[in-house]
Amino acid sequence: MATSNSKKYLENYHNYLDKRVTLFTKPFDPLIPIKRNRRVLPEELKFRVLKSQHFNNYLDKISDNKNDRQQKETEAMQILTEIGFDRKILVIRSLGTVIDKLMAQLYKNVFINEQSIERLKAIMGRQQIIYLPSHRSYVDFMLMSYVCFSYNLEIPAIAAGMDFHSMFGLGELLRKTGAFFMRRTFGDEFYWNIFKEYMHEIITYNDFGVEFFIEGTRSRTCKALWPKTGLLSMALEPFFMGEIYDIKVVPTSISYEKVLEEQLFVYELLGIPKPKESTKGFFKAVKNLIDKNYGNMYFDFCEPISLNDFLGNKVDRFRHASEPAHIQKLNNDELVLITDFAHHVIREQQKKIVISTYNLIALIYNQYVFLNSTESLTINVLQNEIELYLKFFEVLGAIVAIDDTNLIKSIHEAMQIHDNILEIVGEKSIRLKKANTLATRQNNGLKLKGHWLCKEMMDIAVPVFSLQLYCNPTMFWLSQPAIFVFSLIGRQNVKIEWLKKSVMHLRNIFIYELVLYPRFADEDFEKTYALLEKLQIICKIDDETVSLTHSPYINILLSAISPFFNSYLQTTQIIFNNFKEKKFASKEIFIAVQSILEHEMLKGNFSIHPYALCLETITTTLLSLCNIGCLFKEKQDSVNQYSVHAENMSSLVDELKQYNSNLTFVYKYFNTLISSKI
Amino acid sequence: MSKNFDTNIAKTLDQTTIRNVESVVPKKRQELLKWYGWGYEDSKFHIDDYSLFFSGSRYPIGNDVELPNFRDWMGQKFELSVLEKPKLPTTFPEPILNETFYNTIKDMKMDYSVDGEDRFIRCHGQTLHDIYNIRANKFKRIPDLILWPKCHDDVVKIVKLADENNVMLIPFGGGTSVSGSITCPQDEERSIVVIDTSQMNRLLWLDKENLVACFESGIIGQDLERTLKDEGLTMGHEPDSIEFSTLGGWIATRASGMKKNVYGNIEDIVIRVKMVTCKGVLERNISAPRVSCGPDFNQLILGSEGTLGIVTEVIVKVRPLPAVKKYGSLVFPNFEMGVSCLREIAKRRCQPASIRLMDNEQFHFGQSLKADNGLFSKFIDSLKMFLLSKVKGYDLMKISVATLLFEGDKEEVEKQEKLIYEIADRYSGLKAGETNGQKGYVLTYVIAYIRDLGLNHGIISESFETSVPWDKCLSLCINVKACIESECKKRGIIYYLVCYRVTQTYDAGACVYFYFGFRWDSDCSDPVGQYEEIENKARDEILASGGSISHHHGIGKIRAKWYKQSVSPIGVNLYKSAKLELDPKNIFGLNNLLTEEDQINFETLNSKL
Repeated sequence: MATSNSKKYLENYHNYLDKRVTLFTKPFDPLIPIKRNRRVLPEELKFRVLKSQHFNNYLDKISDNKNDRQQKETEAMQILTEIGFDRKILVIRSLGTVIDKLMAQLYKNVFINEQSIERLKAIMGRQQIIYLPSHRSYVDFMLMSYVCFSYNLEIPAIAAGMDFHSMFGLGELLRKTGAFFMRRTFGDEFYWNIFKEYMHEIITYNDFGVEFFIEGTRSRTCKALWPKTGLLSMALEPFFMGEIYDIKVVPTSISYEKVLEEQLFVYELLGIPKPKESTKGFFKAVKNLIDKNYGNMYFDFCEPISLNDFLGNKVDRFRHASEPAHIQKLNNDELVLITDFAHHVIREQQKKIVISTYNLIALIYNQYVFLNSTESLTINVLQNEIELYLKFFEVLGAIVAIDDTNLIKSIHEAMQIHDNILEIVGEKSIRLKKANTLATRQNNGLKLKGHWLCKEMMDIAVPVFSLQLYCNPTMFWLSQPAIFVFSLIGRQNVKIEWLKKSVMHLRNIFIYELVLYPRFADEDFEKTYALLEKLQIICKIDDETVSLTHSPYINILLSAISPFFNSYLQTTQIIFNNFKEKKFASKEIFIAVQSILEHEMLKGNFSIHPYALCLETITTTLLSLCNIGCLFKEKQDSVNQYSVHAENMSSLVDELKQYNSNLTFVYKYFNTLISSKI
Repeated sequence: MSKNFDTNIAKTLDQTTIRNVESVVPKKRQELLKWYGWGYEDSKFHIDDYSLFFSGSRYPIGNDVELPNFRDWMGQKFELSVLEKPKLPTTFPEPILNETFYNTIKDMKMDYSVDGEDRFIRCHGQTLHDIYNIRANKFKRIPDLILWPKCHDDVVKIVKLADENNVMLIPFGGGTSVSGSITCPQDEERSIVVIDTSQMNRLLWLDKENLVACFESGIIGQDLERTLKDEGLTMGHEPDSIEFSTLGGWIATRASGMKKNVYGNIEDIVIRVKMVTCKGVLERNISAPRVSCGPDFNQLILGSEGTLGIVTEVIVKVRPLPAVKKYGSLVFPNFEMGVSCLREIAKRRCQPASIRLMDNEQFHFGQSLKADNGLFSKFIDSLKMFLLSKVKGYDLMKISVATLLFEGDKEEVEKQEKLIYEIADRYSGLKAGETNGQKGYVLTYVIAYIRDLGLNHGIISESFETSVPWDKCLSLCINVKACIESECKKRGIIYYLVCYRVTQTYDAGACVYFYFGFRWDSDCSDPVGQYEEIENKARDEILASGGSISHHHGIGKIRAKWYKQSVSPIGVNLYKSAKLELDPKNIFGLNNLLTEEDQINFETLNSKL
């Protein structure tokens, strides 16, 4: 059976909606992560911060006199009130009941890996726990607490952004379920001293466990994001300082068949700013959502990682042990270890993200577009393709939730849930639905991030982006093999040494876009090499030489990576052609790229993938270009200013063009083009 | 060179002031003491059918009174099984004798023995490793010759002779080392000679005006205290091994006594010390209470662990016997509160002679050692428990108990008690009576016997200690326990016990004692190895949590791997320089303190000379 491993794994999942209990009255005597002498009241943490040596030393340093000190202490108390979480069981029950109703409304199934819950339960009581869920939707926020409450696990303290805090009513409501709030400001030393100490108390003194999103924000692209290590290092510091023996870190994978925010994300990626969260807006949004069907969602606690086991031999905790913890900082080596760990966590999350039917359909549709053969893509062809993809993902190791005993049914169900993107026409052939984006033009007065794209462009871009959002979650599995194939395409008898150089170079280019952590590069290379050999995508000519085979998987990989490659190529070319001589800010690039590409695409240039309009991709391109020395970055009046290193940039553009010439793809999503406006 | 060996300034002691001390421990140690474990031969836990007893009349729990609670506790924790009692070997390795040395010793009419049993029982200390090896008769190399010098001059002669003939020397006092420091080096090729100091145990003189006494180093703790008690005095140094360990041994390991709050640790008690080295006698010729006289070489002798020379005579401070000795105890709702209370008491520097704080596990363990004294006592106990848990709301599975020992004149003790109970009250500490306190201290001496009971039944247990700053005291306890639990789990060990107690308090921190025991799987071929792996992990965690390599057990061999990080590489070099200066041939070749990589290569060194 092609999907046996996935199937076996998915057997551990059970639909929570089938066994709901009344959350308002259910007994709640949760297992707690770490048993201490007594339970701690949330309020105590704040007082401990105010009493801590670290904070008091800091206060002494910054205060002019006694009065000033007192004033600063009051200020600190206010900040702590803003930060601090609370715990009101009645609020948890009420909110839980509401969420419970909402879940049943929105989702067909809420699948929970119950075996993973048992595994988690087995380690409860011994050590502090940090939950690190993937972050694809606001629903993630509620979900963890909901699952914990339902399965009698202590609800962790949850780090939340200030945007929630400012929602009248809702912020306070969330606070009472365990949310604590973090400002997104940088450089406010006073604030961060307090926040850091608060985190310290959560880890060392509280017994709830703590949850935050290691990606820092919802990934609008539905791909993994480069992890943020600030909060993580605060949370792990007590381990390095010898204040605690171990922390168990639980990466958590939450996958959605359809993300609630799908369309919002698409607009955001195109540069239409999202409306600010307001309570009214929130409920309005909720009301709009309720009538739709968002399919299945999957919740999985990955295997808990013991920090002591993971870092044990690599870190010398003794060097911090002879001085008090509060006068010390983590050194650079330790920060690197934390970054390693963060990337490890991201990968663990990604491995357990469940791939659904529609992810495969999106990939397949793209492939057919690029090969200019969408007309031949009927339901039956699609079915065959899915079978091929299933085999492929099985070997890659992904968890794919598709009922392969009745593929046709699965396809129809998936198509129905996402009927805003692809549609079935005529003789069961499939095509992308053009959007009608008229309504969004009313968003006047909103600050644009980039260029104001015209309706014609938006009508094309919105469906293409929507489709791409379903390709993106698979990139964790596809990006590395794709880079290999990309290096080899159009070449024969390639020296392994050269291959490695090329792979490393491409990794450096896509480092942020595809989260390719350099310190894993060597190991990744070995693993991917072995995998491709096993899949017979590459074959060894002799000890030093390899070639690409004629594997059907090659096109899967190439078409998966080409939207990103094309985006990078476009942005790089535009920067090189237009910004060689001057300094520029990222916004100028956004505008230039979007306007130039819009013009070209509406003219009928099918060598440009519409995803190149994606602001997030342009941003990662800029980061990468700085990273490999094609751009210089300097801060002027707190805005990043870039300038081009002409020589490096020129050779990069040539290189990318060279790679591109080996691709024979077209990006023709729609036949009819309206060029009247241009 | 010979000049250095004469006591630097010639003295003629009035021989009549010398008092011979009849030691409790005979020259033939094995007649009184166990050869295969801790303490007196007649005192041990034993199991008949299903009942558990402690034999002998030396300890309050003895006299073969049944200990049903302890049996139940052991049963609960470990699920006992019975192993065979060890048998004393009848054949021993042939002694390797250095002819010249051996003959000269005989000519000198020095007391000696080459008897296998005498040699066998002096090849080890009291680490788990030692005891396990001795029971399994696993020592390949045991001492070749035992000598019993009678005085400082005898020692001088032996050391000189050994140095001339390249014979290795092991100073041997009470044999209670728990660091592997006196364990016979198994790869030593030279003749190994043990200098047993037990016959060198006289009180040389006593000065009641200045309250100082001069003892020979071989006197064991209980003999020393008994001798002083006759004079209405005490030295007040009471390590848990006081029944068997010697003054010289205390100095060599930097020992600490239970009552250090009143009398100080060994380094505070010692005024002068005479150490015979291969290069001569090292001694500070000053009896004044304190001197500014460059680096203090007493500090080089303290903690030298038998590697630099042998201590022969010691001048110590003594104190008048206290009029009142009173026990006490406190119950805290949890260990954390107890630690906070101890910290406050230390801050105010009003510690009684001894104050110790047991965690909950150890409290239950101690409770189980109570004899079954019939219905009435049980009724009283359960009434107390009822009051504690139901009326005061203390959770018996969380409470922590402190034991107290007050010493001084009546008023002083009363004042102290009042203050302590006042402070305790602020930390929810309830008075729990004298008897509980006293029992706590009895447990101290008896606990060492439990390891032997365990070994007979497939349970391995051992204690280890550390010192730690106050702010890290609680987290260290928690971390080490978590570490041991996690390591047990990794090894599939189901039955185990970890408990701890704070046994000493200082201005800046405390001494913490851990007890760890587990039942080994019958499949496990090397339970001691398994134990040591776990203890090593625990020590790593102790150091990572801000604790020290050792508070008073010393480094020896089993903690050598952490010596360098504790004293810095320069510190190690400094020690090595001292070693090379005092003992270039490695006559005192116990190889303590240094790891194998750090050892001085004496062979190449001496071949160059």
